[in-house]
Amino acid sequence: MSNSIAKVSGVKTVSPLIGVGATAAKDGKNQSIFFFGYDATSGLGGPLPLIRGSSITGANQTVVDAALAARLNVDVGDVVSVNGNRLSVVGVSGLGGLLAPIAYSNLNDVQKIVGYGTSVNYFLVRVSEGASADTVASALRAALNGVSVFTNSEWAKVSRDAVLSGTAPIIQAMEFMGGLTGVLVIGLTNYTTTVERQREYGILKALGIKNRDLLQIALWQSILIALSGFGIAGGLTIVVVKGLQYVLHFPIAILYDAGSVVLIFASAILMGTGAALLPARRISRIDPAIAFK
Amino acid sequence: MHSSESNTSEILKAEHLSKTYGKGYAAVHALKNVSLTIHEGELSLIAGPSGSGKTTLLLICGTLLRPDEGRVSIDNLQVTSMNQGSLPEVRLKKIGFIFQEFNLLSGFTALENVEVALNMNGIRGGRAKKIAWQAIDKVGLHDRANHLQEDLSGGEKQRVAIARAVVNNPKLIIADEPTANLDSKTGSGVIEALRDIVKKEGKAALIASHDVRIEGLADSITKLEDGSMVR
Repeated sequence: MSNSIAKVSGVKTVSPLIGVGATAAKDGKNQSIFFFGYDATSGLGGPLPLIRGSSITGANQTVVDAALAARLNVDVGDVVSVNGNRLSVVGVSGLGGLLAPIAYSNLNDVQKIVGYGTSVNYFLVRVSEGASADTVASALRAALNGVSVFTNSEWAKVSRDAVLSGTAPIIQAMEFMGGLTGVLVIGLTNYTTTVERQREYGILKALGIKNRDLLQIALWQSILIALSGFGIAGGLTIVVVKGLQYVLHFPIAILYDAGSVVLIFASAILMGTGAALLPARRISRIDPAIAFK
Repeated sequence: MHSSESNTSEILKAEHLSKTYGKGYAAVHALKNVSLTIHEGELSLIAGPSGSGKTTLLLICGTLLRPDEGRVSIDNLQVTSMNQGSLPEVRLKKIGFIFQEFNLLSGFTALENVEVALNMNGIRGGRAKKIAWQAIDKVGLHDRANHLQEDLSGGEKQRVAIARAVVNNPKLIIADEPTANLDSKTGSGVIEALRDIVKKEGKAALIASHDVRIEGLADSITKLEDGSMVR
């Protein structure tokens, strides 16, 4: 297969890769992992970035990601067992898996440990200078019957979709609960403020302010609270994700585009509007005669 | 709004007002067939003990409460038959209110409290500020204009309330116990300031008060007892 791929026009190098589920263990602690075997000579498909130690240079070595290092309490120089095979930890990688931690080893070691013989389940291809990845991918699809071929961006999308399709119902439920909680929090905050200041609202009504103008105040207050939440939550998300990425080396990314930002912004306004109903109802019922009491 | 009469000197005309709170044995007859008329430049005092119906009369004349019987005209505008939605505009343009507890907005300066009334009337920005300054100046608080209302004395607060009450140039000023929370000297000063404005600007003031000192400054006095006029 490797030779067939290498013959396709535009292919510069081909590197085999195995990615399988396995179990890592240390001192009685077990952890399900993605176990990757790559061509340690080319380095293609190997761990990036290394935050401690070195790359794999020989047999029976492994690089674990920071999440696995933390969960099994291992570091460079320790020995970890993968499917019962002892491997020396030579490095710790900052980038890991979203669904499970990752360990990397030499291709031959992984084939032996998981019983793959000489088989692999992925090939990583570099395209020649000046060649288009899309064109090479099309050529590979034409040349290799029954093999799925993805460019970098296509693979990222497939992986992302796979993760999102598995978690979408949970995320949607969380979004719904979050939205509902947001409306209630904004509504109750604004309602409490309205109750606290109902005498002042009553005075304004006595002086002649129109109900419509007071309701606008309630609406703007709610929308401002919602938009403040939008800004604070957006800022906190960036801070937390960056913190997880750079401090704890947790494999997480923020996926957003202009459309989703606009959608969330619009949702915040909608939440603010919905949350204004409760205080608006209260305001409309305030008797202006309260100013005389 | 429509004008129903043409007597321009009559600012407030209340005719045969009656109001009962509650029903049956619990009914309280707050006002019984009360009538009064106030003209331009007149400061009219409603006197009477607590529970005599003074505040009910003010609420009805101020369009904040509907009478069970009778009618009220303000600046030749019949207000008792107007729908509820139109009354805020009547209060905004025709009536200025002064309250016992001052009722200034907390967290606002004296000037801002006056500006709010202008903003409600659609006057904003630099124009509102200029008019508010003039009103503050008129009540002698030029130096205190930018102080928060919390930092003002009772007399100063009531002067701000007067400025707020007159800033939209209403014809009628309704004041509920305006001197009740002030010492006698300050109270007299406040009433004199109010009287000055009423006389100079051709407004009418309806003041409910226990304060006998106001009687000497009032042009007319209506005494209430148990909801009825006694003189």
